[in-house]
Amino acid sequence: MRANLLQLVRYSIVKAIMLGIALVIALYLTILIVNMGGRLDEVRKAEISFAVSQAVLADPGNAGVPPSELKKQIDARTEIEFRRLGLDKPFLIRSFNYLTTAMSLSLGRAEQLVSDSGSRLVRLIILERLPATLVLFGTANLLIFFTTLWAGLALSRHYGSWVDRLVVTLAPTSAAPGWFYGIFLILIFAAALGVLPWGGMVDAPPPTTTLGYAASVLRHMILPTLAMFLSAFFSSVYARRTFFLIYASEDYVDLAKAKGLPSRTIQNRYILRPTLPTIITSFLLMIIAMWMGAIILETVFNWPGLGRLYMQAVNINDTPTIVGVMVIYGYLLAISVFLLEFIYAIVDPRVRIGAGAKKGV
Amino acid sequence: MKKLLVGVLMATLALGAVARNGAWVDEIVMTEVVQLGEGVAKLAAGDLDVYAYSITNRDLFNQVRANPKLKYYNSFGSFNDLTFNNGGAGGAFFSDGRLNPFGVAAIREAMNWLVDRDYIANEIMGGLAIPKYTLINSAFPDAARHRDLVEAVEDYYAYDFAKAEAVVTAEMLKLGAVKVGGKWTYNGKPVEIIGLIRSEDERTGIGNYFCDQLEKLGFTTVRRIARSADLAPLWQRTNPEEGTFSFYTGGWVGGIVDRDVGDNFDQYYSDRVMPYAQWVQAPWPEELLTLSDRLARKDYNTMEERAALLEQTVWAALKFSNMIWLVDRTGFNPLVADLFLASDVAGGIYYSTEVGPTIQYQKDGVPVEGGTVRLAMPTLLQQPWNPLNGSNFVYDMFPIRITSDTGLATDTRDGLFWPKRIEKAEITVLKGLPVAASTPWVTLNFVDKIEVPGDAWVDWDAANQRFITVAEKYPNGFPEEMTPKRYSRVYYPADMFKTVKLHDGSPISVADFVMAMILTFDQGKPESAIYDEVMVPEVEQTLRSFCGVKIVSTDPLIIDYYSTIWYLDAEWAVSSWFPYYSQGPGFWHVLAVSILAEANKELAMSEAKADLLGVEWTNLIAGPSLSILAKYLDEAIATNYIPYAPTLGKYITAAEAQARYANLKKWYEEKGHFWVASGPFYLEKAYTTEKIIVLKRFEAYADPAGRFDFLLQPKQ
Repeated sequence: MRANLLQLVRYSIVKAIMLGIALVIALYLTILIVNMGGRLDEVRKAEISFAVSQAVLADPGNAGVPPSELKKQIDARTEIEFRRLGLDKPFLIRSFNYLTTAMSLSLGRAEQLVSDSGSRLVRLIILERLPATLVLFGTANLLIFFTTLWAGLALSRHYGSWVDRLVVTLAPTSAAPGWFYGIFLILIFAAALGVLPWGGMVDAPPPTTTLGYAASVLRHMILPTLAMFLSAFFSSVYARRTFFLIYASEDYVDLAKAKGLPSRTIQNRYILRPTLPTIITSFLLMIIAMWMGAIILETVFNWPGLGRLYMQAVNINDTPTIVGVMVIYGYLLAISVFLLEFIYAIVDPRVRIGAGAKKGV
Repeated sequence: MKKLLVGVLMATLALGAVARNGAWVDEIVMTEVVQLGEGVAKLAAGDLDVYAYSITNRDLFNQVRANPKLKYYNSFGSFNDLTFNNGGAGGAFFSDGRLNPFGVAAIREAMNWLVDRDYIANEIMGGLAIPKYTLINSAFPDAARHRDLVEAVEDYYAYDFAKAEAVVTAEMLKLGAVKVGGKWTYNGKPVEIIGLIRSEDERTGIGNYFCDQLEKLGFTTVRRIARSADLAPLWQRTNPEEGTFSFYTGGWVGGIVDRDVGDNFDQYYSDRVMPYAQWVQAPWPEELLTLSDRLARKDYNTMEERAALLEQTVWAALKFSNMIWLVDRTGFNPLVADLFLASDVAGGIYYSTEVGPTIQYQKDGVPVEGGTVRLAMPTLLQQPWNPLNGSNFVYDMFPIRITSDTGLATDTRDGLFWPKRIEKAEITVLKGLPVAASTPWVTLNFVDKIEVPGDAWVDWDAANQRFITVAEKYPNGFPEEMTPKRYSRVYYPADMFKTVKLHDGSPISVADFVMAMILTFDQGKPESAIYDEVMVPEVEQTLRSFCGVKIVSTDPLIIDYYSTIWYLDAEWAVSSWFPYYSQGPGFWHVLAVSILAEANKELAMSEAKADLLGVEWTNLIAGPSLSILAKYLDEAIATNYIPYAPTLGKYITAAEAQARYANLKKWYEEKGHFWVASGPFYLEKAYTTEKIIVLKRFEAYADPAGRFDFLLQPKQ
């Protein structure tokens, strides 16, 4: 028992260290790529120079001011802006600052972006968008997950039926992404019929009561949720149904049927149970991925989610924000991978932790 | 009796109709609609009333034009150009020996004949552009003043491929280039023209067209089509002699009517303004440098002299052609047919300063009282709002302006001004300056010398929080470079302090004006508790032209201002000193709370200072700033804080301070923000994550509805 515990602890520590190293490498590579190995500094200096000079020249308060004075203003403000963004320091030093700030989860301050409420803190930039993202993508993804799970199981018991053949036929419809369906849903239900909103998260102006606000958000969620559902449903059902079919054709399932066990018992104990590790893995990965949102879908539906925010950060090369989003995703993924090792051992008695994770027979 | 009652009722109704104060509509609800196509579709479907963005997409334009329920306002402030790599000191040869055709002025000039501007305007821009040959914008006053010059230039530089080819051929042969198989070569290699072509808009079409024309001339083109961020380092920061590019498809945005194009020549045709290598290292002809400098310094005594100087400069600029102008872009701002507002002729709806007082539905040509306007923009609520150094994004400034009041109203048709809060003004300039007044509310005088009273305020002692007078700073008189050339006197209405109310119910006061004068200097002074190095260049620049300000009378309020800077239009020379700052309205009690927070290093009003200190950027409408500001409001109430007490203490009594802070606290408790303005609309709420702004009509606004409706009519 003690030896097993020691083995477990040792394995956990080694696993955690390996995941940590992988995370650091991935993050630093992200920092290097986002900053083009430091070449981004030239891009940003050029953008700053242009933006500052245009701001000074376009300021009505500067009308009539001698050009030499304007140039002094431009030069001084450009220099301050360079300092603000740390462009007076070598990229190598800044790259390690980005890394340490991200790994510590303090996340630091953004360079260009502000949060919806005007804060520079990357933590707030992300947190303010998180509820909107989780509400929409959480709802949609959970709906898709459990619906397709149930439908896939049901279809695996009715292999070859007309419903099964219909699902197989419609599976390729998932080649079209959610935003594609979204455009048509907007055209039909918002533009033509006028029964659902075009986009946004809530009515404008928003209802003043909590219930009214919630109802408005739910109404605005209908089309984007439906778009994601239509895009994912058929291929997911098809995939799950095929997966369950593999287990449904095992000898022990035939034996269970021959013994006269109820269909529901066979489904739950002989088909679903052995597939739990895969289902749990896919569920956890879905949970991790859903908070990242979906860039184009959010743009199509004007949904204030993290996907659009991330795209904005990428477009303006706001490294702290990009790295902040990535590090949270990285931590969630690392923790999930770590936890799954133990979850597998719990749900699948054939799996042992450590000692090469040999399977029992 | 019955007739009497009916008569009273009718009179009351009539009076009620006339007596509506402030805005015609009750509410403006702003939302974010990112896609331009969706904005137009929502307008057509009746789900939106106005899309406040200057669109240049011809397909969308055709949709709006074809729909009788929609209309549009045009805007003309933006323009496109081709910027050439003049080669710097290397001229026609790059440092690696390659030939640079655009290093030769004659070849650059020939590009004016090579491009068919009508084709660009009508085919590539779909009719949403006007051919442009000079810096003079076709919709602004100088175009009318110098019509002959503009026409002469258009005639001389009209599209003529054969002429362009002849000039280019002659020059290329002089450089030692040889045409082989119809292609120009130099030292056995094809002469390459590297085009930096912007990908985000119609400039892709323009760049490709220009490259096609160059290929017809025999050049080999390399087309780098990319975003601004990818191209900017190349055309802005590389050494011209390295030859990383040959031309760039430029574009410039103008948000206000430019009434003196002479100010701009120095920017584009000298090394004195633009900090980019192409301008700094260009081999400027001495004549062009001299001419553009004289125009910028207004080195002329009459409009005729100015016209002659402008004509010389225009031709000299075209001869050098470091950039050639292509088109003035025509943006269209779509809205529903029964909605009217004053849209700026340069910047369109979202650059207009007079949307608040003029926005209205009309029925049979008569304004309708009430209603809600559903307005959308591509984005909203980009950055924090604070009047000193908050967001200057147009998407934030637009709603800010709707909530604001100003001393003068901009004539959105021609860029002049009209009195709004001021009653009248007197402008005095030195004799010999070609200044003219176009409107009756400003009186223009000419004198031999402008005397500045010794007790006028000319600088600020931040340590002791008192103004420095002219007599103290210039005991022996102004230095020659600070000779005052302009003196502005504004008169405010006698009842202003009774009629002009802030949104929180406080009456405006002299202290608000004095605060504006203090803050002209304070942030740039190292001794100040809110010193901000970002403000230093601006304050230093101001001090070099600021000859004095004096409150001649506090009630009625009369303010004199003296400056070295003068303008062609007397209306532009009026300095109202109304408490409206660079990024919005500011009243002393709201600013006091922000100042306390910044002095205690918990907030900073500028982005740069906030980042350098690691604190929040002051945001009066949302976010972590609010709780900090609320804390300092309570402190101000508890201590009856008067900011800059040695000076403002003379204009604020303890009772007034208490009343102001009490109003502000009540406002914050009701609305949840600190945005207090005095315009025709107040900020009801900003939903920052949902990107929704709700503005409501300010019923206590000082002006009757319709006061500026004349801006909706074309200028006679």
